[in-house]
Amino acid sequence: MTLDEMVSAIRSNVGTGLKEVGNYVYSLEQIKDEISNTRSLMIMQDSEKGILNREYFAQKITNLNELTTGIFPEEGLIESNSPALITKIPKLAMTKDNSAILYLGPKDMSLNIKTYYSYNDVRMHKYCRTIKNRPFAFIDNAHDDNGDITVYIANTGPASFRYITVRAIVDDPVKLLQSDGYYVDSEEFPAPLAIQALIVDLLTQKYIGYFKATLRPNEFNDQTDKM
Amino acid sequence: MEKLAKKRHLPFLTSKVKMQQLYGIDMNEDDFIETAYDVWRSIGNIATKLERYFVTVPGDFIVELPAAMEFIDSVTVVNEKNVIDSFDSGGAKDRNIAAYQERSNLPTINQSITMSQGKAINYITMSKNSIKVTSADALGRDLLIVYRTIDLDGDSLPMLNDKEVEAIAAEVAKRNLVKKIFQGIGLKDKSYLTLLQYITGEANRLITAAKIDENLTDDAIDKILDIQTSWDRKQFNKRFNLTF
Repeated sequence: MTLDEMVSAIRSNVGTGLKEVGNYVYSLEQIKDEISNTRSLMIMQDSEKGILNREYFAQKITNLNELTTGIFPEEGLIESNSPALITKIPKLAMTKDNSAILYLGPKDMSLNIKTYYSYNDVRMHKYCRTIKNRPFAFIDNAHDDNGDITVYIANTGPASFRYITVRAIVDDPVKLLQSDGYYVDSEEFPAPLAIQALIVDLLTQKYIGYFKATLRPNEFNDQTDKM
Repeated sequence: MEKLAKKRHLPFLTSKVKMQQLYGIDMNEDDFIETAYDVWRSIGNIATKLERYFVTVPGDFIVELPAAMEFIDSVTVVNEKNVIDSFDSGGAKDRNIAAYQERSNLPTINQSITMSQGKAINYITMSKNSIKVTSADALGRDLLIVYRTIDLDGDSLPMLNDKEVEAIAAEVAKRNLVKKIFQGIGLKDKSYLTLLQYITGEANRLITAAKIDENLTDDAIDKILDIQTSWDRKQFNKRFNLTF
């Protein structure tokens, strides 16, 4: 389904669920935003259930900015001859086991770089038994004002690459699609149909709940069944 | 005993394929290698290859060794008996050159080794992969150093045999599951604990099996039968251990 279709489905469900009561007001734009939020929520909650296959939520990001050369946030963190390569990626979906990144590395997909999400872990990379000289990346989840986060890649050696490709589960899939300027709401929403169905159900129930709690019209009690 | 095992023939990352096939676990390659190497060391059968190295003892008696050297088998002075006058002592020699075959009794593949050619000399190991020869009369003489390197595959990772492949796959799967449970993933799902019990037993069984060679050669059995014990070894309040 497209984003427009999902919003339409939710609106129709809420309407028919209340027997054509039409005097409720809500913003379609808000529902569009909440659809992305609900997708993120379901991915987060999956750590208890383990039914989702992360690969089906992946989005491939190939238009990232060229890597710039810099140092790690803390000088002396990395004992390597090559400085860190830095770029920005969109904010990632929160997963308990830090599995939002499915691939991070050169564009030809030849090297899936190990990623760290915590200072405590990345500082200890040099004590790894076998992979201490292999490239590794540090994902700094502290986002900037655009909602982008910084990726530092180290140990890439003298012949390193200029661009990276990322396959990941991002927090806001629609925003990522819109970032190239071509996505409109009448295009496919990035989630499997089964998940789209769950999102529509969840939001329908939520809006019906809100409606009943707050917007139920006052009616005269004339001892008849209004429904 | 690993000296006598047959040559390892499977690349290290075969165990990652096996883990995917058996347990469906998807894992970053580097993460896998870091964990699996630990498992491989704990199995402990380090498959080694025999190498030899010719060098002339320099004035300071300190001999640099090849970087791949893991264990030294022997250091001997070799121009004793079957001396070849003209030879370049710059490094390892090709085994196919007739002259060097003549002056060495080293086997090619899987033969028993009793001793190396030449007269054994004393040495002490130094840092940075070097030894210091302590026999004064070795100055300027030609040394034969027989050493062992770990048998590596194309990715510079150790070669494995079939038992090790299965053991590593099971043990890494177990560690993966333990990690998930510690992270609090699926804690409400009681079936994880059943799985953990299953995979712990499986991993322990396979690791124990992998510690034994796939094939015991006649030489290996001979070595086992040669264990030196006295017939009256039983003593009160003593514990008996089989030692090689």
